[in-house]
Amino acid sequence: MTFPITKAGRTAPFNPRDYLVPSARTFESGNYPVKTYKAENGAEHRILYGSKRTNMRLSLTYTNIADIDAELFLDHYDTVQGTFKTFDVGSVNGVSPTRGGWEGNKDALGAQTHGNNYRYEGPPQVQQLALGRSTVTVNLIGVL
Amino acid sequence: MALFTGASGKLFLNDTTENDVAGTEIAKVQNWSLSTSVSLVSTKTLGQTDDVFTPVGRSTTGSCRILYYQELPGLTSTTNSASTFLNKVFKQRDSAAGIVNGASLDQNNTDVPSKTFRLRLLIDDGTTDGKYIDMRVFITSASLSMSVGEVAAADIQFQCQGAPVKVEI
Repeated sequence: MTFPITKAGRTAPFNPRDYLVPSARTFESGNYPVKTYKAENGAEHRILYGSKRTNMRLSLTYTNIADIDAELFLDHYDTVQGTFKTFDVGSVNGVSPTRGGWEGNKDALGAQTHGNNYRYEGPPQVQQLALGRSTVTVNLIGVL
Repeated sequence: MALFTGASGKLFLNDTTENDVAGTEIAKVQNWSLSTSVSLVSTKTLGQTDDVFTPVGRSTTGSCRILYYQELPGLTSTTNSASTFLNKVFKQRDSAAGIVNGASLDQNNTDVPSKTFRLRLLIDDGTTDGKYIDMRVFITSASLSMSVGEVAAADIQFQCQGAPVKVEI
């Protein structure tokens, strides 16, 4: 099961209204595995332990989505055994709904470009706001 | 085509039973009004330029103006004057009920479990039942005003509890 990118009950061919697009997104680009030491004279020494950037954090908020769509995230969290397995946030028909609204290079927000895959950093947070409507926040982290 | 004026308007109050009955007609109603608003939440997502909404709730409120009068000198009408409404919120201390310095907030007849009472806003179209909206309400504001050159009247504002019970409009 891929990360939820289409709404519940929708089948191909998809149109833009079938995608689960976040209403807010935060991306932290992570870092290369660098270890920094301070010498006694105050000079900084840095050791690069790897050639791939990792630990990018992607926080996605889906505001006021239908409960049946909110449930997709809980199901997916269960499918990947919580924070254990990694997954691809995926795309459909060349569209990556999780990056909806981003007009820069698609790779810039991705983890795969740097050999990472996303996993859940913690459980999805579901806040029920009205009858049949919830806001879901998922926090993902890119790992090698 | 039938148009209606204030002469076709009526207001009924039922605070003695939860049964599906119109209740007592309030005799001296100067006006009533009803408005419903729908609350929306935004479902706009990244990449969309214009607001997109979905409805999540509804609120119905209304108001009416009832004349205050006495059918006989010294005798306050308890059935259809403004005092019917006023007595639901203007209450004297009721220490007998075990409420210190206070009084019951119940707006219904004490025999009825529900704390709300029932209003029917009716447009008399000449048929048996007419066109009406039945709802259970709480009075949220009541004010009695007296001024020179004007008839004493009470302005009542009410809020519907849940959806209206019956709508035939």
